[in-house]
Amino acid sequence: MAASLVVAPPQAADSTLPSSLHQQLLARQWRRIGLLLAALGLLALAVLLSLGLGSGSLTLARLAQLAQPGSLTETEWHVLTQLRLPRTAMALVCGAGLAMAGVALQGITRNPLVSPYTLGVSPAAAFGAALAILYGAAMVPGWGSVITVLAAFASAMVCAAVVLSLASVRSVSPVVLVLAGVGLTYLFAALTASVQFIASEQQLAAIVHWTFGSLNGRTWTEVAVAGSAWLLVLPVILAQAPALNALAGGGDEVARALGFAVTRVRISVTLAAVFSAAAIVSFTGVIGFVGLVAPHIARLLIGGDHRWLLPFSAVAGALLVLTADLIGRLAFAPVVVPVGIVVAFIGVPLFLHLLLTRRHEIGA
Amino acid sequence: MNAAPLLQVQDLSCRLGGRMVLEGIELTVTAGEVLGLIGANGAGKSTLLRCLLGLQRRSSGRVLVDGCAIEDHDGPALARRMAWVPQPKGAAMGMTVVEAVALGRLPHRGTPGAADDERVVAASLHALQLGALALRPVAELSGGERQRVLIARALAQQARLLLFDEPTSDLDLRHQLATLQRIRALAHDEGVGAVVVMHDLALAARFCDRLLLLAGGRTLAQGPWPVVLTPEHLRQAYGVEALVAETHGLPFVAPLRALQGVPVHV
Repeated sequence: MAASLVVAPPQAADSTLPSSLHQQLLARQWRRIGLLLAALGLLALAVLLSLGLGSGSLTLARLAQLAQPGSLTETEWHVLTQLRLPRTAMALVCGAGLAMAGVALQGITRNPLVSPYTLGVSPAAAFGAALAILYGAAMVPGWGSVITVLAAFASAMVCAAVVLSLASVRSVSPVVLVLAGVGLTYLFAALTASVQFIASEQQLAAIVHWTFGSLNGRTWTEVAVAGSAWLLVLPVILAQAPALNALAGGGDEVARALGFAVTRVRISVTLAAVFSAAAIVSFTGVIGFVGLVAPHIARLLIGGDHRWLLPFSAVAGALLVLTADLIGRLAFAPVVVPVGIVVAFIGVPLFLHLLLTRRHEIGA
Repeated sequence: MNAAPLLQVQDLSCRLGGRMVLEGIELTVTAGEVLGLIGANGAGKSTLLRCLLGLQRRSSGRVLVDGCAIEDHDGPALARRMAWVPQPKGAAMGMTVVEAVALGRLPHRGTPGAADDERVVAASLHALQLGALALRPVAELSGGERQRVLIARALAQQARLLLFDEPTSDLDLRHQLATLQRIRALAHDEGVGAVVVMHDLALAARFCDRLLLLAGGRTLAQGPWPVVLTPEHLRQAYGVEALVAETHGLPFVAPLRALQGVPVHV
């Protein structure tokens, strides 16, 4: 009866194995591939809609004529290449980057409630931007937005440094990290509120607009900077997928007992995640919910294996932000509702629904 | 054939927050042997287990696995020799049973053994009767099933030395028996060495080849159960007056009453 386990000779084990497990694993693999392809298909559709819909004469029908050279007017061409394409690209980078940072942070803390937002990174970026606006960044001709972005990034990295130094202390448990994030979130929210309190009416409007999180007026330069930051950390995070499995599946000590250098993994993953998140929210403003909800949706659909979860979350996050932005642009056109608000309106009910119906699978 | 013992601990001491929680521990586990770690709450059982795994820094002494200090093995190599079965806790983070068991294969990445991953995982699931639950989320399982998942994970590690932290604490009588029989079979049939932290003295006496009784971080007694489980030792270690007997060839321990004024190390 007892199959030889520890030094299992192949024949003995094979003869006692249910071959159905192999079939089941194979079926799961195909299901994952199918889901990933379906999500990518939806994303492609969303990209097409994002490029072909909106105010102005550039429609889906006009977009279809793109293949014939010279068919688009100069205005349409400008709308496509300078407005809708960079906006769409930024939505993709923002959604994918924040979602992946969320998965990674949830994995290393083994906590399903962690995200770049809940660790205080996004609120810190908002404070940096608010401070820059208060001190008249907009007055510097041509450099206003650059200074605001740099201030947001610097502030987010200060918060990241605090989180990171906590994460690198061996005896600090993930729970402490999470609670520290809650504290930092409140701190930066209070700091931003103080800035808003003393700001002029005009500055206040600019600050509030920034904290909404918006994809309006994104330029190729901004896309390039945020996109490079994300591409830079992508291999770092993906390489840690096995370690993330061990950490998410068993916690710090189990991962160490499985032979991982946990402190090193925690530092590199935290650094990669908060750096990319800081780079993204510095341009887009606070888009809070993606990093939390996209990983959950992905986990429910594709399971807890980070080799699949990381890429699938990136696609899910990109799809969520792009869809939210599309809705924000079309729902009350010509008024554009900031994407951060729409994401919350889509994300929160979805999140609550998942939480209530499938909480066991999330592990909450 | 039988070269170095699987596990050797020499003069191990551990200081935590200025207090000596372990002092002068000596123990050896050879292939095919189950060592039971017993003692009152706070006697240092779990700390000792964590010291053996390298999860807790010790103040002095040596821990040798396969004759080699644990610091001299690299992480994955050590994990291929020594596996830990902790108590089930924490969020499952969307993992299914098969994914959780497959974590035991992580130390084999990049080794020739990785080619066997699927077969070993399947065999581990099968051995713990988890085959039917393979694709179920761990979060949906009962406490006993989660315990079995952790044991299966340790089996998938294919380590010759297994360390169990209170493997029966979440289980009912039937599953306690099944789990301990499984551990014993692993040792006696497969030549695994096992260290098992336990609270139930009768079960410990019955299923372990030797017992190590800790009291206040020191070894109070070590050896076969009749040597270790004496009323005098139980009085010193647990602060209780107890009856120890053997009926139908089985050890039997009944605590009678708590004693006043006996230092119990909590």
